[in-house]
Amino acid sequence: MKLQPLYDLQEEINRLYVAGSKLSAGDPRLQKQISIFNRLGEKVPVFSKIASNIDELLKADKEDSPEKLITASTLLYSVLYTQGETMDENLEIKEQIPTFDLKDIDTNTSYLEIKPVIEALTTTGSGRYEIVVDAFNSGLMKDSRLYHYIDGALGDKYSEIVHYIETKVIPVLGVSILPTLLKNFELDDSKIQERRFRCIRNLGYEKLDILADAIFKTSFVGLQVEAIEYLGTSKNEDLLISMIGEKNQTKAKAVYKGLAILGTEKALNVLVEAYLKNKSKTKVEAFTSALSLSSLPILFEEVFDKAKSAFEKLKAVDISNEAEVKNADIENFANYLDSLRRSKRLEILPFFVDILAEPKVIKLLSKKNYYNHDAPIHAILNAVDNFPDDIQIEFYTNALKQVKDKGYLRELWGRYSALSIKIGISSKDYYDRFRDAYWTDNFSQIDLINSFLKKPLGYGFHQLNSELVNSELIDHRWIELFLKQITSKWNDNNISLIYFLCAIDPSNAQLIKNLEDRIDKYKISDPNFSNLAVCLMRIGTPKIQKELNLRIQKEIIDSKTSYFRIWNMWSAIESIPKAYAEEYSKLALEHEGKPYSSLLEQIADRILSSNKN
Amino acid sequence: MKITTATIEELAPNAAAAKNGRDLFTKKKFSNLHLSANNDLIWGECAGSGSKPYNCSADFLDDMNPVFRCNCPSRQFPCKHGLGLLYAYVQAPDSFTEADIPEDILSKREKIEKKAEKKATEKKEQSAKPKKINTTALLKKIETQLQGVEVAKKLLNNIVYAGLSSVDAKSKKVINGQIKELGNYYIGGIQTAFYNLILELEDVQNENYTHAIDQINYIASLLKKNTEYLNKKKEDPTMAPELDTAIEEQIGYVWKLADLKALGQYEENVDLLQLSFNSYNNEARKEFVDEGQWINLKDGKIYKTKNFRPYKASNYIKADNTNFKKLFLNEMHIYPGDMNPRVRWEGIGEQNDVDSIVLKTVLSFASDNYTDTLKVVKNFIKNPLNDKNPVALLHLAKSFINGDKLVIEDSKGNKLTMDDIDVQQMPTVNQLKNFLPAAPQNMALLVMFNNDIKTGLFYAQPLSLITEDRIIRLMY
Repeated sequence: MKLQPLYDLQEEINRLYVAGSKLSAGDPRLQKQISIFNRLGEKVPVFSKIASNIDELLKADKEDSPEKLITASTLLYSVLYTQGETMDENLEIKEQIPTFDLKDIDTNTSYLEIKPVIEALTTTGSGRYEIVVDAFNSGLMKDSRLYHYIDGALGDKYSEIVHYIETKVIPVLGVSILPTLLKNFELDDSKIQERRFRCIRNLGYEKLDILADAIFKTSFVGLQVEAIEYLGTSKNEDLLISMIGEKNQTKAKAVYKGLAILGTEKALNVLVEAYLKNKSKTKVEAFTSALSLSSLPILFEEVFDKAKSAFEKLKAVDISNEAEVKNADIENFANYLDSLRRSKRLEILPFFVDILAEPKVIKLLSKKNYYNHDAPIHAILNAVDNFPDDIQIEFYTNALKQVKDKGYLRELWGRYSALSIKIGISSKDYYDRFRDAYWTDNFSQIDLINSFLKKPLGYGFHQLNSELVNSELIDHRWIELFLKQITSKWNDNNISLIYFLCAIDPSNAQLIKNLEDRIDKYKISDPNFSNLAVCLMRIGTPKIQKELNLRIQKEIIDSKTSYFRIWNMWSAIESIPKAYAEEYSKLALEHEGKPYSSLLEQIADRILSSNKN
Repeated sequence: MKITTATIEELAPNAAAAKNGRDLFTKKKFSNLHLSANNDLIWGECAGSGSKPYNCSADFLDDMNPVFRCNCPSRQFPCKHGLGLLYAYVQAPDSFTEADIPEDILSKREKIEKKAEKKATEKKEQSAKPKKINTTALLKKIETQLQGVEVAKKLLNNIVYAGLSSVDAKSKKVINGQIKELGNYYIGGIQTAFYNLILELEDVQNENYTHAIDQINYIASLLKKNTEYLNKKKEDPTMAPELDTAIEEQIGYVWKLADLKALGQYEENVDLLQLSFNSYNNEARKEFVDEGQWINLKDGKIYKTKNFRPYKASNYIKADNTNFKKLFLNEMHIYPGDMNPRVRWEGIGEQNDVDSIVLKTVLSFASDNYTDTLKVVKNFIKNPLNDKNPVALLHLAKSFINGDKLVIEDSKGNKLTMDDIDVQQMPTVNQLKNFLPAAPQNMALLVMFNNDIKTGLFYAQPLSLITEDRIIRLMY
């Protein structure tokens, strides 16, 4: 039951509350309500009471007005609470269709287990990503009570969480999370809505056409870009083709991408034709990145010609002529090459070798201070990656004979090494094939060491241990070569090599001797001391470990070193064998009251709690 | 000693403590782990940041009230070391070797025993003699409360007189100062009601002041009721507290279990089952509230438990948790007033698995006449002082979509719209839409009612779906 006059009166009462009861005397709009409620009161007495309350309010002086207004509203609200319809009438009634079976629902996870996940998805601060990943891996994310928060995390400030939710969590949850995404989807110019639409699209929502139509009626570019890409997957050829002349760069890029994804003859014809006719340098990247998604089953020659012609134009540039250098379209050269990425046509490989071996273009790249010097080689190698392994090997063998540029050589040797390992090269062949390139510095030390590891470490070599090394790949001659290198060609960059040697051959007497001799040459404050100390704490003799500890203790006590002066020593300290912790604690007691005694105590704690020793 | 992961979470003061305890175990921080011959005590060492490990133990001499001991400085109870020790026991029981109970623990056990004996004797003595009332002190307190009520009335009238639109940042500061002063008059409940009003005013959107005005009505009714009640009490200080309303609690009185028992507000030998649990943030009181919805398996009455955790102490007060077991209580204490009275008990009760017989009993209490239930609910919520969101169990015959809203129907064709209630801070309707069949068979829904007096829609938020074989929780 819903008696409309009560709701009308509520409007008036609320209005007076907002304006203040001081204005209630003789209020004409309230006055009108009295007769309505008097009439209603003939049947139900409470309405007469409401009428008399209003009357008293209208007649009250300012001082009494608050009390009278409260009296009138308290009764009115009480009666309103007895009203209310339990269902909106005149709405379309539809069948309730559950999206999943009741028996698949599991809510046997307690509040205290779910709460940290909800907090990770809804708050800010560190450590949240790990909680989200843990929850996903343990299957907790499948609990439908978390859907609302998972959806909300698409707007998280931390991009790693957003990416994880969008690319890992939501695809696994599948259509079961679709109603939540749809409920919160709004036509709005925000990143969260773009992501939500993308998720809805990727989950294959059947009424996406309706959403896309609504999006095209707005001016929200971000959403329109997503909707345009949808046209590609939904085979909406005509609409997509009609948008080929789009002026907005971002939307145009999405149109080209959509046409490439669509991949029909008609769509590709329109796309390539527009590409060939394009005269704007700024649109090249949009076209080529779209073409890089296609295997170019038609019109390959035309796209290839465009890349070849770009190369010829660069070759023809007179490097001594500043104006010609300035006008050369070097920025787009990598883009032209990228358009061939998925073509897998053999004729592009000799063309690529020609480019890599052409000194003039390389010179031009450096002359023009092009910010991304490596972009052409990366475009080339991305295209090469799509060929079968044997063809790739042939390409590298060929290219490495002709390329002269040091930077390109290092890149090629690195890729060649990874490919050789992937196809199962023996340790002997690997050494024979890569030894000279390494020794002449055409194959980088980092790439070589990483190729021996089960998981690349980047530059975090201090974490290296024997478990991380793929020892089957290491020919014994490498160890001899490395020892020769640290003896005869020592430089600070060899630290990573030392960590590597410690991991693969910890009992090598020559290595230990080399390190023991070398560490004496460094002061404690030198970062090299810390690195060498870490290695020696791991593989050194007890004697040298004792000596090193004495050096550290002496340094702290003699120079009254504060925490900040040994900040770069913590890695070494954490590697000190646990047996030494007591020595530091005793020293701390002996020097109690001195400013550095707490530092000695901290070192003892750190040694005990470290898992590196 | 029956310990499971669920038991540990139950014992943990909060989710973070449980996680930290688990981390200690996974990081292999425990050593020298031992178990008593009676299998009722575990102890060991846990490496901390200091040079010496912490000694921690978990004593299950009384299975219902385990005692944790640790020499770490944490104020959390149990600390992460105690919880980690339990995880170690659950996940790697073989790492515990049998040993004699250490002397210090034996002497502590003895002390606990003596303390319990003393407490039991005191309790016996207390129940034997009637509680003495210091009339002079009580009258003085009532007088102060009445003064506070007058101050509160003036404050409320000033706000209403000036108008809600005039409450800007500057005047809010002044009002907040005046609300703070109400704390001097033993009327904490009234003070909280004013803080709630300020929060409602801050929440106003699209010029909709309905909730704020509703709160003013509540405060006004509370002040009126208080004046009458306190004046009556002033005339007769020995007068028994009013038990059909929650007025004492609304003024700010904190009930003790002994008081409730003395007033007959208790029930013996109760079988309870938690149907839903939620934890929300009460900004006005600056605390987290853990709220459980329980059904009495004897008569189907729905009760609630409330655990208040002030922000400042939230790390040290144990959070309540979801309870999946059927609970048998020797004694349950019931707070006065309310359609779903608040209950409390001591200890953790006897816990048993929930079987289909229990669930059938629950289903049998579900109302199959929404009109009758709504009549009771409306009659209850029309009183400005009553909780506006009572909870009830409804039988389901049908469900359908009206516009975009889910509607449930009883076997007589009465309908009720489902929607989320803001104050619950957790949406549930969409979840239910995901799996509720159009023609549910032998199912009931625990719902929380809400009458939106602005739009005139009387709806309910689903909390849990009960079927013949399980409870599907939409909250926790």
